[in-house]
Amino acid sequence: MFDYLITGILNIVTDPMNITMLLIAIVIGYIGGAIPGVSGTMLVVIMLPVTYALEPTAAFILLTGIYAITAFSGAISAILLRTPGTPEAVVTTFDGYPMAQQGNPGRALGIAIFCSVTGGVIGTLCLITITPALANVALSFSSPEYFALTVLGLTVVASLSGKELAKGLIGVLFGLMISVIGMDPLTGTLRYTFDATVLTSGIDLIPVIIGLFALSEFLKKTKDSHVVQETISNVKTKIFEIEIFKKIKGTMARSSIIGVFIGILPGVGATTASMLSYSEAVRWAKDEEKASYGKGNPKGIAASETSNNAAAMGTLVPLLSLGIPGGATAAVLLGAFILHGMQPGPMLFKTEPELMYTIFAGLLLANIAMLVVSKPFIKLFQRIVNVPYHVLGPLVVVFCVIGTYTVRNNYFDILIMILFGIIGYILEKYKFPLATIILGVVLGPLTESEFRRSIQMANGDFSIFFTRPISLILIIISVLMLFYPMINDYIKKRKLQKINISA
Amino acid sequence: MSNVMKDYIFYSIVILFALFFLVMTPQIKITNGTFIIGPRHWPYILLTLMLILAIFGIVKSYILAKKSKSIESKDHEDKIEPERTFFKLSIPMISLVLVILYVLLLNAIGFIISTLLFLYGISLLLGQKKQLYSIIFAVLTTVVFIGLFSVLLSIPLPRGLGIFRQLSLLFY
Repeated sequence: MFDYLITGILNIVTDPMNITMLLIAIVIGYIGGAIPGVSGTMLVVIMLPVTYALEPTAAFILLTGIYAITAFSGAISAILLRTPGTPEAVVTTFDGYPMAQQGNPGRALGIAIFCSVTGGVIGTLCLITITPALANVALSFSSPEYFALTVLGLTVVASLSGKELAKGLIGVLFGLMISVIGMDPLTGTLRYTFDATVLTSGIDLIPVIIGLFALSEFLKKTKDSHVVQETISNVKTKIFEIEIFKKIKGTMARSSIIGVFIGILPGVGATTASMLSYSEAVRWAKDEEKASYGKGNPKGIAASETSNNAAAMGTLVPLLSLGIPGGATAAVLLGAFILHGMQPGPMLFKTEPELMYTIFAGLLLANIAMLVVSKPFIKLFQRIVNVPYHVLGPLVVVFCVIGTYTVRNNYFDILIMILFGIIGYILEKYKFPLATIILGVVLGPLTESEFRRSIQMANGDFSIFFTRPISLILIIISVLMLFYPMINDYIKKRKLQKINISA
Repeated sequence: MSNVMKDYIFYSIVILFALFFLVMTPQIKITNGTFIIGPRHWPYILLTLMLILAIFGIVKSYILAKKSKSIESKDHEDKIEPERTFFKLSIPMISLVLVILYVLLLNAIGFIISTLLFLYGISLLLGQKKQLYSIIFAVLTTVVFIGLFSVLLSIPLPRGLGIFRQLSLLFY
């Protein structure tokens, strides 16, 4: 394994194309993540078309690199503007902004950088060790196990849809229905094509993702008028201060474990991880210290930033080992793999070990690079954050159009993209969890064909899913996952009450 | 009240969607009889689940609405206000129209001219005050996009028809 990792690092460092892609990923990740309203998911979506022309290795270094960097870069605007640049950084505003206001923006940023790098590196190391092991186990899986796995993946909705479980499940079913349209992969029968030849090959994943995530976001943003944001200036970033480190090291250790663990659970992403880790930090604090949370406690920043970066890496474990996306961005990455003619999952470790370890190496390097790159970037931050939307918005649209068109050089796909942009815009107004639709579309073909193959294997006996131990366990976990938010809600409510009482 | 209404509308649309596809499902031809689970079964399962969930959703929001009627009636008056802007042409609506126009033009007059026009129009709409800046922005961006995608990455962009095709061939 270590030889592979070293080969991976060498692959990046010695290949000018790969190292360029890593650098581009860092730049884009910083700029995009710092601008509120451009999330990591959207950036990965927008950069998809650029990767068509690239070698898979370079393409995935770029995409996963952006993903790794945005896990941190949202914290900059969270601290300096109180507006999280990415959803993952919401919790960082709790203590980061107060600390910056009290005249220590440099310290707040320094803690965020140091903790992000630590969390990210620990997360990546866990990713590197856990993923191949899990993939190895998954090699013995057959159709029923795979079906159970996809079901487990689909129960991700439970966490994506919050309280509206029914709506989330409808979203997944809608996504699954979209993937049904076109030619049936097993029999070649045409389904719901309404005699239109353009529908024969089905509705492609990429236009749906771009429409739902990028175009609908653009439409939503158009009505916000541009206000020049006043940022705290003259920031001197202090990345490492020994007395601060002594204070936060316990929090960092705890938060990185929480982050990785939460990240690996399919569907519970970085945002949840940082929330949970923050409330754990408060819970573990001594009584006299509890009041300082939310008022610039360094441990608060540490808890949030360590865990969201660790979780971002953890989310990649189920994707790369089992082929099950742990969240929206992972679903987009899964789409990217399919685009490059690969199906992520246990087989990929056998067929493309070098690619996998190069991706790992890229993530490791991207995380470490934050230490060096963050300081100069923060100096530029003020200018970047004030890029007006009448410049940014139109660019997003043109990227959406080109991105969609280049997948299959199909004009019809652009129309599909627009349609899903409108659907996304309307559903967003209803607070509908859009990622559930993506999940359905991404996992649809796999779920259906493995389901049918299993039944075929068992000669029509539906109990096959429950008689095989691994598939039974997976289905039990799925059911638990589905009802986990309800249980979790209850626990959270109790915790919030506790925090309120103590605060 | 308006929230409950929204839920009713949402679930009704879901039910209509499911029913429409349920009606369409028998039209799927079964060409290969050897499969125990044919191409029709999977959609049937999905659509049935969808119907059940939608009906569950309606019942649930009905019960919730009954429970919290007293609270809802207070909110009632404030919630009507934001609904009205829905009928005016808001900026997102105009943006959407521009995007649709752009995409329709794309096929006819090609990437270069339609992108120039779109970028010029949308940047003015979204708050660019100076005409000149809009023009510079549109030209610059189009040049960069063509340079990056068509020339550097050799990704074919839509060329349009007739003379527009000839025009695009000059550039990429």
